[in-house]
Amino acid sequence: MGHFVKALISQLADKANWLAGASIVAMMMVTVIDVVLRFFRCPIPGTYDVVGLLGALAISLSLGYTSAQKGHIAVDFLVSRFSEKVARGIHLFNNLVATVFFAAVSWQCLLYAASLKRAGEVSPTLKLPTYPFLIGIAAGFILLCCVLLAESVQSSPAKGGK
Amino acid sequence: AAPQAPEQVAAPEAPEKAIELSYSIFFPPTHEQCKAGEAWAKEVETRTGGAVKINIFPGGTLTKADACYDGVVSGISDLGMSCFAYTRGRFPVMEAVDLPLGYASGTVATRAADAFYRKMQPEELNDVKVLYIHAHGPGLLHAKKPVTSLEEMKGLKVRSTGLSAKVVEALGGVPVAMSQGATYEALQKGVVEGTFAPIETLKGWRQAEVIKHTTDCRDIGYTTAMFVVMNKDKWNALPEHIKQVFDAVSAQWVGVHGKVWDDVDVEGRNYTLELGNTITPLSDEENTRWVQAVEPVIHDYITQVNQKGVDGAAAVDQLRALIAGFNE
Amino acid sequence: MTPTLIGVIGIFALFTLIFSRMPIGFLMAMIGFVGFGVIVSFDASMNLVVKDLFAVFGSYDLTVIPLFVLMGQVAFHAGISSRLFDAAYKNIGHLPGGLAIATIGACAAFAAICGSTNATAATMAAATLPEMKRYNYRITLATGAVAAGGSLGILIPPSVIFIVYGILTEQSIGELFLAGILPGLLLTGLFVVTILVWATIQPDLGPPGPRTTIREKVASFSGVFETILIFFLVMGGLFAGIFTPTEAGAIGAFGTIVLAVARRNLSWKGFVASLFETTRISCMILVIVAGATIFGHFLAISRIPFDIASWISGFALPPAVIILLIILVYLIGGCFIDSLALIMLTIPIFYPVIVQFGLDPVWFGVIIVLVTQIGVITPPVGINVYVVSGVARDVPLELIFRGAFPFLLAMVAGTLLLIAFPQIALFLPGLIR
Ligand code: NA
Ligand code: NA
Repeated sequence: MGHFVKALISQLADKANWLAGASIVAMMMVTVIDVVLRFFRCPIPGTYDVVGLLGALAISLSLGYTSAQKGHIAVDFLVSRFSEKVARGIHLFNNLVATVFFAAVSWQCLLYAASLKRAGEVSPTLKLPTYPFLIGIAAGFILLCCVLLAESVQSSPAKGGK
Repeated sequence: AAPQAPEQVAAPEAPEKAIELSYSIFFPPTHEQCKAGEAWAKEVETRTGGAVKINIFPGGTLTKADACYDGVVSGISDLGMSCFAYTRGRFPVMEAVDLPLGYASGTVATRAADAFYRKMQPEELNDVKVLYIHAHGPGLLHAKKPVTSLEEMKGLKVRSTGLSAKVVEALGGVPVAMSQGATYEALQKGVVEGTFAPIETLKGWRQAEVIKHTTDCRDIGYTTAMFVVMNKDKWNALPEHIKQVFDAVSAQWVGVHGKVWDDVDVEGRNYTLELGNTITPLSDEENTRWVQAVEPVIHDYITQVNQKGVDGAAAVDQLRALIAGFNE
Repeated sequence: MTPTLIGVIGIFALFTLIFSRMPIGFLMAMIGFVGFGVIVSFDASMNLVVKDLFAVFGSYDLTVIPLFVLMGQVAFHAGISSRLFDAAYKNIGHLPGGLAIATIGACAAFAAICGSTNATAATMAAATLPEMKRYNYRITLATGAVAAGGSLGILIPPSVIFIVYGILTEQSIGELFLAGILPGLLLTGLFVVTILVWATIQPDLGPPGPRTTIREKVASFSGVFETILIFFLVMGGLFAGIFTPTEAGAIGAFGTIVLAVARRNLSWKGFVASLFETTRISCMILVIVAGATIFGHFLAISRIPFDIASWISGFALPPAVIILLIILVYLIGGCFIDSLALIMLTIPIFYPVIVQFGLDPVWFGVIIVLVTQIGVITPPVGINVYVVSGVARDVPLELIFRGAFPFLLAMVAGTLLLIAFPQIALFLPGLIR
């Protein structure tokens, strides 16, 4: 059961990262097409809005994958001198604290999205509603929490980031 | 820049502990409008006899321009000054102020914007205490080559965002969006050939170094309205006599900001002339054509806010009347 | 507790807890959250965290990071950078640390395109570290060179910090850009000397290669063709005004992909690998930037930067001492706060002091940029070192900090030279004044 959940989370993190990668490619393509068309004086309106929002998606959706890959930089040299048991304890504690924090962040993101929707806030030029992107960010942080939790229940000793 | 206010009634005894308020201003600390905001804060401090202390966080060091309003609502800062336009869609009524209605000066724009708010009392601002509104002098066209007709405007790549992008489009130009900070380099390299902005940006953002000509098209001069607002809970918690000081100083500072906008426009004007750039007014004939060309932008605004249940036409009429009144 | 005291506790907490193996970006965000919450309110603090995350992740100007990282990754996976380094090896490989010198040169060239220190370090790390490893260079020298080389991104124009400084102090941005060029080249030169000296003392750092014939040298240039093409595409487009420095990232990445595909050097697998590395590295960098932003907002509300700045400018000390104290503030402040925020907070207080002492504001701008860039390679918070460590995942952080240390000395030497000879900065702007 635990294995199934962990495999599921790991797959989800992977899928979300594909979306993040796709967002980066989209950012690149939109900018390139805009630059080319601008050369002929008919650029894509709202490139500025879209590229920033795609960037927000790209980073949030790769949060889970990056964490699963131990990609977030940490200072290792003190903890790695402790016994394995102590190191694992510290790692577990860190993961739990971070999970609580980012769960609160996700929840606040959703509240913020709701308030933006109510206020009718849109992007400056294209007038795209901003709130769906905040839901995307919230989803990225929820996935990060799942990855951190899955890691905490891991039985093997944690390897930790660098 | 701020006038010395006459000594008010003997200020109430300074309390043990002053009420400390944080004030987020999006202008960089050396900008005259930031200094005007600081002078406002000093005046409030003085007139409350030190019962209030205001700490200023300039240049978006506490909340960035587009997060300023929400930052005040949620209490990140107690006070905030920023533009309505940075959070598009949130202020459908106040958006009318930014239309290309032909503001003659910073004083006119500021007085009209503040009076407009007080007349309309739009509910979109109900989650804060509005202290006052101000707005910059006419947004004009600054370009690397002379632009004196709609024909020369055609296909011109102009830095503009949001509503001013619509104006550029209506005039036949090509709007290109970027931050004010990135505009200098874009103009220098020719990524954009012009920018739509009040003439003060030529000095404030050093853009006079990289443009050659200003087209004085003030009959379509748009503006950008800016708010000074306070967190509602913080406001409600203030004693009555302190609220009165805030309101009195704020009412006085509408004039201060208007004058500062005019002064910085004069400085911008002198600076760009000093660098050998030219300023050309539109001919009467062209003027009429430009005013007609931007009419659809005003029309679009009206139809769009009508869908949100806001009487756009009434808002525009109200503003036109105010501008006409102050223009005299 | 006064806000100042809470701020001091926050800094202390960061210095201590950084050793807990908590990811640095997470840690800065959490300490910032708690500190801001204690000073203001936890409701406001939670709002601040979400706004900062959204602002940093969704910042248009920061999109250069993922796009330049993608460019570097594709250049690596398509073998473009390895052909470039083969050529470099044939030409200057016989010098001690020759490839590290080539890396510094590449950083300086790249800095002329890119206005961001992190993006420069990330792009160059992806493209150059595997190559130096291939030629048995010690990882301390290799990573140290890239981490330090990244700082050239801000000193050599285009540069974001010069623009902000110019606006704050009403100095000509054009003059500031000109003023950055010679100090940028000076620093490049000092880095090269550092490598030569260090690799001569410790020959196993960057083992010299065999001498090659002229014919071999000339022949090796066929491998540089792609790099030169991409460089000219990006530089040409920038100078012809076809795109902005921010857009240059997208153009560079796209150009590199097209070239790699056209020359059949990039497989689908290689492309996917580049993309996955890109998301991971960009996410790592932006999480740290976001964490530093939140922590910076906490420090701002604690008013420590203001307190220190007004405290120092209030001293009745000789100008030289005050200037050194100011430099010290940027040196230490650069460790906690993003350079832009630090400059915004402190310049209004320090600037009048500078003017009062009759010092040249353009020169002072260059000094500040140089000094804040020292902070990007000093422990415990040195963002370029983190960036490099995120790319070279098997290298312990301490080793990179150690590798960057000699370059730190070079930067200090550069600062002292600039203080002793202000003309280094002021010569070029003087020509147009
Ligand atoms: Na640069
Ligand atoms: Na540092």
